Amino acid sequence: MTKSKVKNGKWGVFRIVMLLLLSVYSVTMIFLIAWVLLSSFKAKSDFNFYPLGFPKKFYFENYVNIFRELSVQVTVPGIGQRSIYFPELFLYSLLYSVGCTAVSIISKAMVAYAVAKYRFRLAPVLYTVNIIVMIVPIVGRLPSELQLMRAIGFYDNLLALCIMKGSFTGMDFMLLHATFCTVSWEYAEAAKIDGASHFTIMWSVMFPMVKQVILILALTNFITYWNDWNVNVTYMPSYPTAAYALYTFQNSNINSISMGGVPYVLCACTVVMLPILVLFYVFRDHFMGEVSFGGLKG
Amino acid sequence: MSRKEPKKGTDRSSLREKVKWGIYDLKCAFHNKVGVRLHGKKTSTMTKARVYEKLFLAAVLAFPLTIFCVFYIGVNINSIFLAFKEYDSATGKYFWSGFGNFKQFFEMMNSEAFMGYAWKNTFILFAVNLIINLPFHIINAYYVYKKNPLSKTFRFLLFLPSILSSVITVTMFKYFMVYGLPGIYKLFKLGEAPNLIYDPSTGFATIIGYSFWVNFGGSIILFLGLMNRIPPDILEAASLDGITPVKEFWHIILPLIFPTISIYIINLLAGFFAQQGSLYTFYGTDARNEFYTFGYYYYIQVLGEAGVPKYPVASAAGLLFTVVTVPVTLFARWGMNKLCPSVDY
Repeated sequence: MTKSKVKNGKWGVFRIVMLLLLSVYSVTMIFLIAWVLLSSFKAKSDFNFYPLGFPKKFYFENYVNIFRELSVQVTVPGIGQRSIYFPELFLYSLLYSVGCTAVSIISKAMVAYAVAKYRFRLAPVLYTVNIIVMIVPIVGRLPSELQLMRAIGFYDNLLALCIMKGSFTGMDFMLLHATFCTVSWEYAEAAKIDGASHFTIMWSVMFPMVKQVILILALTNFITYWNDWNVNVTYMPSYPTAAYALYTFQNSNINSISMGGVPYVLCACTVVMLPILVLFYVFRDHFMGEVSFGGLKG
Repeated sequence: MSRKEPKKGTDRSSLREKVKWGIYDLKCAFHNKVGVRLHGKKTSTMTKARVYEKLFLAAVLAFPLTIFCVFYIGVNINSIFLAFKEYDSATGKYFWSGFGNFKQFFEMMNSEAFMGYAWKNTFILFAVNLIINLPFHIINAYYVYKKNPLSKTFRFLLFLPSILSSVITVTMFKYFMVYGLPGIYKLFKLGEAPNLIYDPSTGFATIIGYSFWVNFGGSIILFLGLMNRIPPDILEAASLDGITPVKEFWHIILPLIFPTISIYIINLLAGFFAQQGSLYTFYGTDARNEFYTFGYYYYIQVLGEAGVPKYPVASAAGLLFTVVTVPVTLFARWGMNKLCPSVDY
């Protein structure tokens, strides 16, 4: 056997092993999602007897019932216990995700633009501060943050939590800065001649030039905040989101949360997952194609 | 605004004169900066355009910088102070307590049963992430990059868990283990299914298994993006020299993407004490001692109203963790840069 054949043989073995491994992984992933989806259409008794098989009858009403029956209990000062159902849970999810995404992206984009395109004394300082914040790991800020939030009235406040996302530091800042650096300043000069103000140049000329990057960052931020259920546990107990509701259901005694049993919880799982899957499908090219800026050096 | 110069020769050492000269200096600075005409004479070198630029920059930076100062600098400084304070439940106020919180934390490390498990489990999670998960992320990305069979399908399925909430993947996994697995055992007549998630002997291993499964794709898009950025000329030249895909991976791909791998490793190190391994998602606050990690212990300490009195001890613990993590991380970063300097391509 020649040397090259041995080498190609190694590659062939690697490909077969990886194909098998990835196939097994894919089958488990598809199987689990399919199991959740099929089980969500089952009646409680059907699921209890046959947790693996196809539903004897598809109970589409499960999806209607969870909107009426599944709720999260919150304690409102002065009122007492209050049940929050899925429409309101989704509303909080949406407000939290959109609010945090908008504040976070706009703040970072503004600072990144200023640092990339203007010469002022703070510019290199801000860039360096961001790098320091990214590389110096600080553990255990949570108690201090919670104490401060309670002291200034930011604890358990949806609007305040969105405002808190307005800091400029993080990887998104680096990506936006790198992108703004590649945009020519000549467009701004042309707009200046036409009498545009600094703000108009930023908002109407420069931001649209980097809209692809802003869009992908906004999408990833939105998904992160939509999926964030810890926020209710940690900072915002009175405004439960849909993801937090799912956490509550899956960690509660199954008989205590609903008459529908496990299928109801799996319905809730599907309902929480659905908006993200739709978003992913609509913007799949952006997700799978545009995220090639990972090569930024640190 | 007038700026009448104080009389020359007056004694500047008196407080009154100092204030006078101070005000005069400030006025001069103001006139020079803003550029107002005074007594028909332009004193500033700053143009109107420059003033507008400064105002624009101030407006753009004010909000993000305020948030950063309050919620990063302020919080971290407060965290240091908090580590040396104690909470009085009766008055609801904090008072200085010296090193009492540190002493309490060290005593707890020696006495509490879960601390031994927390050390062991935190190291296991870190090792699994570094030694098993990270290599798979890179190899998976390379398989897809080389456009092998089913690579598009694999790319989608490997990326999928990273856009789903951890609570969704945990619910799917946990419910299948609790309700689906007994069904499989029954179907194949294997006897009674083990309670993998709650059994103390298998619980943490199951969490590790879940972590491996859900992170199998990991940063596929990141690594794939990096590989796609490698100039085709380099690979074509190597291919003309008869390089095999395995050698191409070891000698071209890996060195070129190493700067990002090093950042990944540094992030793992930086998050050493914060890793939870989804324990809170699986068990809430009721995880068994055998499953504890530092990240989990730390997180459940400060939750809710009951966590308020524990803020000082948790801050002391956080400060200690930071003191350990910062030099290790910075040393690792220095070492990585020495080992494999970044290459521009």
